[in-house]
Amino acid sequence: MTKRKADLLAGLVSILVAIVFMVQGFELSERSNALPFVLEVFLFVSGLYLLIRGIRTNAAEKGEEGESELDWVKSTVIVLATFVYVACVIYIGFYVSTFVYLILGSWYLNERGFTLPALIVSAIFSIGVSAVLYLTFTVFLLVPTPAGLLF
Amino acid sequence: MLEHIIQGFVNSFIPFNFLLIIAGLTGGIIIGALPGLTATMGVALMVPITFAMNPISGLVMLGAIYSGAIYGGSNSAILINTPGTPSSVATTFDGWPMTQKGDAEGALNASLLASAFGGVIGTLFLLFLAAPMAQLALKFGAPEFFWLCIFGLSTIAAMSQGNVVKGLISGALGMTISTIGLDPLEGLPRFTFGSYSLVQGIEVIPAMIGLFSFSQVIILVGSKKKFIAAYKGKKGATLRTAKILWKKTKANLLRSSVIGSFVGILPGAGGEIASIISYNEAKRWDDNKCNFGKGAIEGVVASESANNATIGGSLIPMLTLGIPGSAVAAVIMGALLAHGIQPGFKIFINNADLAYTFIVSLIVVNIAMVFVGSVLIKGTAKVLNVPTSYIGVAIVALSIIGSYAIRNSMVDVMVMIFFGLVGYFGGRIGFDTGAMALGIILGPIVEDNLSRSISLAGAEGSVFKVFFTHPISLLLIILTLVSVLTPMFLSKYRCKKEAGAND
Amino acid sequence: MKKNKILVSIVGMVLVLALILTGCGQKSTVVKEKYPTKPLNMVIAFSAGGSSDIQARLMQKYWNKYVPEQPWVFNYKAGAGGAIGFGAIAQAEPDGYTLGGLNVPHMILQPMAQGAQFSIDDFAYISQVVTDPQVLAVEKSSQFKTWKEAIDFAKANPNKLKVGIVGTFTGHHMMLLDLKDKTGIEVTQVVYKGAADQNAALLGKEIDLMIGNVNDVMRSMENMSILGIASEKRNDFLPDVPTLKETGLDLVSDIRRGFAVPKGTDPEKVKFLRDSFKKIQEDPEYLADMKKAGQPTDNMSGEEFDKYVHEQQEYNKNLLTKFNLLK
Repeated sequence: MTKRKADLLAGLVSILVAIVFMVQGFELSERSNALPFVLEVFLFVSGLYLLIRGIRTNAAEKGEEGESELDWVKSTVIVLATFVYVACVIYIGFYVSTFVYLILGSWYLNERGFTLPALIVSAIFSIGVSAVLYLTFTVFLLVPTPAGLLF
Repeated sequence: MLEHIIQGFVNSFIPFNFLLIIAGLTGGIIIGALPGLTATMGVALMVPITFAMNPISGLVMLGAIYSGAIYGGSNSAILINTPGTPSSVATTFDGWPMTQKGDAEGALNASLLASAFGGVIGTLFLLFLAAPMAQLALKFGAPEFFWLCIFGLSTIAAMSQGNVVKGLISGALGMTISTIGLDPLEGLPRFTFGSYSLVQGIEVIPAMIGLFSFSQVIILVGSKKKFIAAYKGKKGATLRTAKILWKKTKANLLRSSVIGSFVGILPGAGGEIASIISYNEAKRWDDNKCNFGKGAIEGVVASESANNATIGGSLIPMLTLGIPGSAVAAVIMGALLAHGIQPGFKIFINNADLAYTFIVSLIVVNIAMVFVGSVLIKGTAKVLNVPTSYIGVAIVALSIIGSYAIRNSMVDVMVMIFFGLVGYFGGRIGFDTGAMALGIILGPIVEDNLSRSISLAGAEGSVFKVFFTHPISLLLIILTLVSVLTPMFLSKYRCKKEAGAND
Repeated sequence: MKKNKILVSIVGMVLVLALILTGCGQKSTVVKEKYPTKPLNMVIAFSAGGSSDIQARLMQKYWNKYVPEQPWVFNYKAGAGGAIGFGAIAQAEPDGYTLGGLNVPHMILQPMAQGAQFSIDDFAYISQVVTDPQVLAVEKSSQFKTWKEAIDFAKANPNKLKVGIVGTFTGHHMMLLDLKDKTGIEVTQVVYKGAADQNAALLGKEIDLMIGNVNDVMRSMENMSILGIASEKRNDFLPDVPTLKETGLDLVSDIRRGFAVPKGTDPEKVKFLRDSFKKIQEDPEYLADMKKAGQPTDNMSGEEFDKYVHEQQEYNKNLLTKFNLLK
């Protein structure tokens, strides 16, 4: 991302957050709103500064963070899969959802592609990790895990 | 007193107690290393087990878990850029870059040795200077805490020297987020956007897991790299690292441990603040300050020795005044009370054996930790040998259960995911997750003490008087100003490379 | 195509696995079993290691003695001063397998003033276990030797007396309001997040007077002077402390802890729980343990606790309305 774009976006986000919170703050008492107000003002002003700086920056200037190439398809799939995973945790239960997620996720990502041996490796991995999580959280620590229809 | 100390050592080596030390360390380190499980939770879960033992053994075990957990947090901070406990946030700043450069082993061992050293120093303060330090703790009122946090926050400006504005915005965003929930003064819901689940506020730990861990996973799964980082386990790493530390970081270790011990005595201020301040000071006094944030072993050393030193510090007011210096100290105090033992100065007379054995056992614990820790490092570092396609999803699963485990709330899991996205996209537009985490952690403390100071001003007559006339407050204000201004005006305190990129 | 076949077989495997697990998960509800048949969820609305937790752990020891068939599994749901946990109990399945600790007046004030998602009518009360009276305390070298002196000072110097409490819309807050109501004084109210901070502030002389609970002040007693206790009778843990009542101020204020299950739970199960708890609470070893841990025992039956909670609601509502704190 170019420096210009980064500054513009960052500035915009900052201003937006400031406005959203400011609006919510109208119903609050003065004391309650004191620090939030200071923060909102700061965010707004700094956001403005970044916007101005961004507009004045040469569009061709490279961003400071040296980003390596990101395969955004894979990342997006995993993020979406995680959303589904969390939903499953609520309705189906933690361990079953984890088991399925780990298998499918690691199989999708693994570098050998959708092959059967890779699937088996994923399955073993998934069972292993699920077992460790089970032992640690449910058996050793006695921490309840979300349980829906299943386990 | 000397006889008690010797007796304490003897008691620590009674086979059962020593076994508890080893078991406690192992369990504590693992708990600390798992993001989502905090030292407080680990110690609290083990308290009922102590009911079946005699109080001395029980305390020894709890102390071992406490120490192990605070050190353990550094493992995940270094290996997967996720602080295992809030005290290890600052460890990610240099620990993770070190891993990326292939020196995970150096970072892990440095953290281990530094933690052990810090723990010993903290315990020595507890053993010999408990009384005066407890009195010092009492002198910290609302204005002093406020300025201490401002000092802590000023480190954000110093940390992000190249992008100060975005760093400060990140911190401010973090603080703004921390205002969601019940307001500290009037107890009424605030910024809940109509959802009752937000009344409890944003829990720090799920937010941090999201900011660091989940956002890291998004990058990891999309990256073309096969492994998180290159790693070759070489023999004798611990000893080698010890030599490096001896050569390069003596002053750092001592200074950070002292900072940690002092910050630890303050109820409400703990490892997070201590490690950040130490990190900043280490950077300030180091000639190679430009390396900080890119994989300087000094950064890891500063952060980890400080946070383990807070352990001894937090036990000082707990044992002498019955006022715990940290959440874990509160849990340990609960265990003491459940065994029918009253904290307070009398504990050193009526229960001398218990008190001294407990304190001395902490020294034994820290020394034992080096051995237990170096064995466990061989295990935890294996994480780097697992391809990212597997580790990435495993981290997600762990993040989810870790976030949930804090208070059995799916809301926390959703907070975690939300902050994961915030951390990822924020990182792309230049925001600093460390600064944001700091904002979330320190925000409530700042606000709490700010409003309380203003309340007090009502009785004392003037706001100015409350904020600017107490000696400790003035000291902290001067420190903050010095901290912020010297890099601006004195090039000696500025990282030379960044002097040009200032903004 | 090969890919599809594999996908289909995976989905099939998962489905079969799911069905098997579901089958295993079902308990046969055909035969009426003796309650309880599986572990009980004990919801604690505060953090592990705190007073509420310690007390519950003590009870757990004796539950295992009287009902060894099924243990308690602790479930910590801290947040919003307990409101999150109380809400969780109220909204749990009333199948008798979730119970939890309740705190009064927290559970009364939170729905009234903070929009909490439960009400005192959402529970079937099992019993009360603890009454922790509020006390007035000063640092031991304070100028005030009796609470009357503090009040007189406050009357002569409005808003100069700094009084520390923990949290707003809590027992401490109510006591301060009650105190102001009954004596007409104006003070500076200083709010702390927890007893540790508050105790430190008193000892460090940031505040002049504090409202604390017996359980909390006992830890720092050698550094404090307890001027009065807001209970009907003198407390066993603090036998030398006069009650406010006996020294001229009719003020009773305390924090109570009890246990409950969600409303609508099978009355037989509620009875079982009430009877089991009664056995625990009357066990002399339990009482000794409680004393050792500094927990002020005060047993009350479920029905009586229910009545008490409703009475307190009225009382607190009036107090809050008087001070204009109910929006």
